[in-house]
Amino acid sequence: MGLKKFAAGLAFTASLFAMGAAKATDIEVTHWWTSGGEAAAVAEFAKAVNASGDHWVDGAIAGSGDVARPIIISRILGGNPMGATQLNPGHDADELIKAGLMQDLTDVAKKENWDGILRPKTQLASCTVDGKVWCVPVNLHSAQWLWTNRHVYEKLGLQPPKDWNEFVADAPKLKAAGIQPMALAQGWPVGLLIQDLMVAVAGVDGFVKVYKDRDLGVAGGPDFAKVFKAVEDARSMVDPKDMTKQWNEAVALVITGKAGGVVHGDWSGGEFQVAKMVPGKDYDCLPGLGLTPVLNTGGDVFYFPKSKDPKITEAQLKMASTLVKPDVQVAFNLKKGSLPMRGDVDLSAANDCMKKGLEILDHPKSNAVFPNDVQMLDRDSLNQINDLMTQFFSTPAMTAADVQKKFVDIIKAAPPMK
Amino acid sequence: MTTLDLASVPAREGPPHIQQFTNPVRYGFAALMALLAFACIYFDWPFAKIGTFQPMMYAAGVVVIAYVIDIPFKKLWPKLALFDVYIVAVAIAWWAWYTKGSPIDFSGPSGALFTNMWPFAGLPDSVPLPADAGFFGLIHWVYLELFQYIGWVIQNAFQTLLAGIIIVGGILGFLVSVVAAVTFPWFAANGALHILQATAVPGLKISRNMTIGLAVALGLALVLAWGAGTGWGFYATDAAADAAWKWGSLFIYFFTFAAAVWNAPYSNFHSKIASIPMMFIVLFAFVGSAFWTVAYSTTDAKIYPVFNFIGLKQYYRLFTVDVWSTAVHNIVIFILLGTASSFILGFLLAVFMDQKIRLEGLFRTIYLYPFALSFIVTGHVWAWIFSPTYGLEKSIRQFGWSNFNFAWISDNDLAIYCVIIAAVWQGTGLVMALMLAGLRGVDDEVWKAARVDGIPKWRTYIQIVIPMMRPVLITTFVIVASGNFRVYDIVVALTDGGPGISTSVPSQYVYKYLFSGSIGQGLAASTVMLLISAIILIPWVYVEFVKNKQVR
Repeated sequence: MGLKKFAAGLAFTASLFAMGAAKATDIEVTHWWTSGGEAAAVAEFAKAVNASGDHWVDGAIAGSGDVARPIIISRILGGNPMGATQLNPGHDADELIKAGLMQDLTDVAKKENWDGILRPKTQLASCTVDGKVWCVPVNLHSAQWLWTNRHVYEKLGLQPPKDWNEFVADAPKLKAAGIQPMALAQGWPVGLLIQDLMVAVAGVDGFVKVYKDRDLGVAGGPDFAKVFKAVEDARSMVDPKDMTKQWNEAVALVITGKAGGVVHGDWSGGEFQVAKMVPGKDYDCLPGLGLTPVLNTGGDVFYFPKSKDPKITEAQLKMASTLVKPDVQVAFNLKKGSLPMRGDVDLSAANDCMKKGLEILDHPKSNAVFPNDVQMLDRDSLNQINDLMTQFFSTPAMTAADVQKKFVDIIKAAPPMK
Repeated sequence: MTTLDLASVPAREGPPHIQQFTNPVRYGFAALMALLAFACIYFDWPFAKIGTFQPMMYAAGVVVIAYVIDIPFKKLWPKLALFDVYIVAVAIAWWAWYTKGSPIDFSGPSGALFTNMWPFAGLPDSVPLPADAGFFGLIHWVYLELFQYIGWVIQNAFQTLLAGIIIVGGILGFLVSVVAAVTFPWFAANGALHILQATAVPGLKISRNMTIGLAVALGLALVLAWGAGTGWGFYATDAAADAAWKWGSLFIYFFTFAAAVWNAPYSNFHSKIASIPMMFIVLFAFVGSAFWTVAYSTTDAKIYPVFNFIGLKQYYRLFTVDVWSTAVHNIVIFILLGTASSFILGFLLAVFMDQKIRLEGLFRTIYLYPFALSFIVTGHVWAWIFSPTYGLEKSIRQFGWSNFNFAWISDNDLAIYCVIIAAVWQGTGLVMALMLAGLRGVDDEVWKAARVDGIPKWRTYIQIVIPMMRPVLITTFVIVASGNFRVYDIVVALTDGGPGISTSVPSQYVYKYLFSGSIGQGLAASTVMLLISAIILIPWVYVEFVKNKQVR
């Protein structure tokens, strides 16, 4: 009798262990979220995935998307896929999907009605290839923000600037006081700044016409000529000596009051958050550089490379649905400084900057929400534009007319998008 | 009834390494090959598509054919050591031409990747030879095939280059197989008779007529079997053709292997077998990859290598972008100035060390130490030193020289010299070590003689010692210059190509485009790099290894 009970108990314990072992699947996740605010945000995802019974193995790749993307892609191509990976919405993974290297998420998406709950529609649309869903959008990022440190201006007896034009006008006074008018990091942030100026100066219409419709008349026309003139202004505001290596170093210059402001995406908000600064009191955030409040639908998505191990596939599908759960979305996006993918969540904890973004997102004026560059143009052309812009920015001898001509050539040569 | 007594069979004649190749080993190998031949036929191996086995079997067959025909060529041209590799390469090229893009039938993504990478995909299918073709029909068919081939070349105006290589390979491969077809029966017959002599008929006297007879029979079997396979209509029924094909092939296979075994000792079989992996690595990993690179540089491959031909557009784009021209400009400065600086400094340091100074070991370690650091570390350290906000400029200003300016790193025109300084700092130690070894290699007698003649020291160095150090100088130059040519990591760590694009270098451009969305562009750039290094290296290799050897 006793023996029988003991045996039954043993069997039960054993089955428990077996269940535990079957459930906790290691899932390696690659991403390039390594700055302070980003790391805090990604920890929320890890917490949620671990709570769902699987085990998040962190595969952070330091640097930027430009560094991480090749590593991620070559790992998938090389037959050594990770469990899940961050990428940007767009066409980066199209060829991998066509080669059958990605996990199809259509069933999860249908079951949970992603189509109904996730907004804006562009995000899920860029995850959809041939009617199937291949990635899960986790947040919305917009790049068109001007961040200024109020204390810097107040100390000099100036009114903190309300838009790009005032920001440019104040520059000489800051320079005279020994403060950098504008902080900027080398590499892709330069391209980002110039793209922000395109949207702010040429307008959303002009930007979309060039990037999406490949309208060479607009690209070579007077509106874009103004854009490149504005870039010349920006160039005069940044001493090449003061350019930092990483974007978060540039933001840190603004946080510490060594620079007046920085034009960068809303992910900078996470850094201000980590520094315990309050929007409206310590710093200002101006969407669309204060000129036109706009929001592009950049952001991050997670892809799940196909695995031969059914356990990993199961864990992948579970993780996909975890990432869009309301509480996970809120926790992650508050830390990240980005906007959640679903409108049906409680964001009373959001700060003013996020609320500005949500306002634009939920009550868009015409054209205020527009596609991200990678959703309109292939990565190769964007790289070429980026190369051209960094060259332009660091070569005072290069004129706006030169750069415009080359810009038109790149747009002309860009392959059509499906 | 005779019993098999391998030990009693006389060992083969020849040099010692051949005699070591004992009879049991040879015949054991022959038996294995025969078994393999039988298995090939029984399972229809080379003819049915059964995944990975097929290319392996073809490759094995190609290697065997290469060994069979190896001997007459070796006798004709014994000194051409790489001939085997060449034969295998040509035979594979021929095979690739013959099978025209459908050699591999994998399923699944890796298979798809491999098939897409196969450089011969996209060639037209061959026209089937009509059953009632006859001799002239056959000629016509060959013409058609060639014509179609040429038509394809014209159709894709670009692919001329690629196709040229394949055509040459194809023609050479065809010649090789003709030679193989003619010589093969002879060697096979010889091999078979010797196997017979060693096993079933010990007292067999092998005469020339016997060999010729068997060779003719073999040749006939070959023609019949191939005829059956290509459907020439020799056979009344399909079943008969099938049987002829099958048994003829078995026959051919068996004698191929027999011939290979028989001839093996003369071709130093052991070393050949041992070098097969090396040959495959050279062919596929180096030659194959280079070829693949050139082929795919003519496509618009973005993130994934798909052979979608666009001609020379990638090259046109390459030569019109500023980043590439800046990169080429930089690499020229880098090679000239960087190599010259580390050469001169390294030589002077070596001369200094050669003065029989105290604590030589200590100095040598100090000078060589930077070389122990990786380029990434060197780059980061020098990035701090050059940085106007943290480095030299700030330190000297803090010492009191308040208008000191040293911001080369953020100056478009001067930043490349920062990279050169860092690279020279790192590389000089190695040059010094190599040069010092060269200086120590100069005989003391030379120095004594110079001193007796009253020649000043500096003249002895310049006019006597340096010319004597020629081999060391050349080796050092090649090491340093090639290292400079492929410079990548120090640029990435020090400037990342900045400010703007002003310190871009070619390998950085290649990496950037290869791994972020434009494989075609990256490959075009690497093809140009390959060409440049070939242009530089080939004359040097010729002078150093070919011409000098002839003189000696």
